[in-house]
Amino acid sequence: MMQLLTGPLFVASLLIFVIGLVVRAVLYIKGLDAKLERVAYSYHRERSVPGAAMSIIKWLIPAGTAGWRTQPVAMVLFFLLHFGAVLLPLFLLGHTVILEQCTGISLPALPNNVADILTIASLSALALLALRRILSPVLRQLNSFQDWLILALTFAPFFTGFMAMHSASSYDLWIQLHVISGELFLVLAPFTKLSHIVLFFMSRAQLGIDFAIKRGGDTRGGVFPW
Amino acid sequence: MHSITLRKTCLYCCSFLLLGSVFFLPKIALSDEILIVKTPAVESPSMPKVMFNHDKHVNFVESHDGDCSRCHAMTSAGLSTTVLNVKLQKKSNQIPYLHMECTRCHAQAGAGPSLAECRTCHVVGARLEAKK
Repeated sequence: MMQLLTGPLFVASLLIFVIGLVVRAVLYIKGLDAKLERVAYSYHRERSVPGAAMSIIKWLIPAGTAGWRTQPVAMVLFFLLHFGAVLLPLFLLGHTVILEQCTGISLPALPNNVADILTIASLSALALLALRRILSPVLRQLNSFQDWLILALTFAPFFTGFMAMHSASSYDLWIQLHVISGELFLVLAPFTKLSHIVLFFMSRAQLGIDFAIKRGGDTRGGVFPW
Repeated sequence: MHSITLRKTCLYCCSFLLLGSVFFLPKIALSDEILIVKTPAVESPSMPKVMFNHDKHVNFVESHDGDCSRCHAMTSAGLSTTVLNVKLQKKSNQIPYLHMECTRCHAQAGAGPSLAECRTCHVVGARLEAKK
């Protein structure tokens, strides 16, 4: 079972994840309006490149933008979730060992106790973000089935990984569930809102370029003060 | 007189138990021989040491070709006591070497943990009992 899960099924889900997200990025660019966007963006490189870069960077910094500062609780939960979601898949010791054996690329590994703290922070943030969705009337209106699905898809690999690490008697079960839930996440990411893994960068770049070139961009020296 | 007989009886019983235990204990230990892998020596380990069930592996090899060189390299001093050529590897490569050799054989045999099942080999406490 594990040989199948960690062999062909893992490779297949990784391929679907990478190719799927690349396709989503290409479709995003192809979907831009030829006259309004594509033509306008191809001029004024001196404004579009820093505009795109600053839009991405500022939104990746906690409280880096007015948008983050107006909702501090959601911001804290968001960053707690995403620190773990970005760092753990790449730098958890077990993951770096597998990466090194498969590709020869050796990444530094997080100490196990730091990984534990990141996992607990991410799981807590997910639970509180779910609570926020239930309590906020606006979010209750906006929430769809898919929104709950991707929350569960994100919760599962953290939870099963943590249980595998710390459960004394059911390691085999938890590690299998961990691999299955991780692969489900990879497979479904390109087809759900989890595609924001790549589309966040696309749309932030586009907005950064847009506000740097059009909408009074030249009067601000190129970069919108997010 | 009675007291001397009792003492003698006790002495015989104790001797018998002592001899019995010396005779039987190694067999009990060998029936589930768990070896702690100490090569390579890791100064500040991130993971618990590998608890290796040697008998399970011996049984597998015996039921196939009986070839101990699957795991033990032939050296001038006989079969290596460590896994294959781990001692010939650079220190930084010894752990990746063991990971690769062990899991490759497991994949070929269709048995034993894959590289993703860290804690099947790196076990502590209660899990060791389950592993037996």
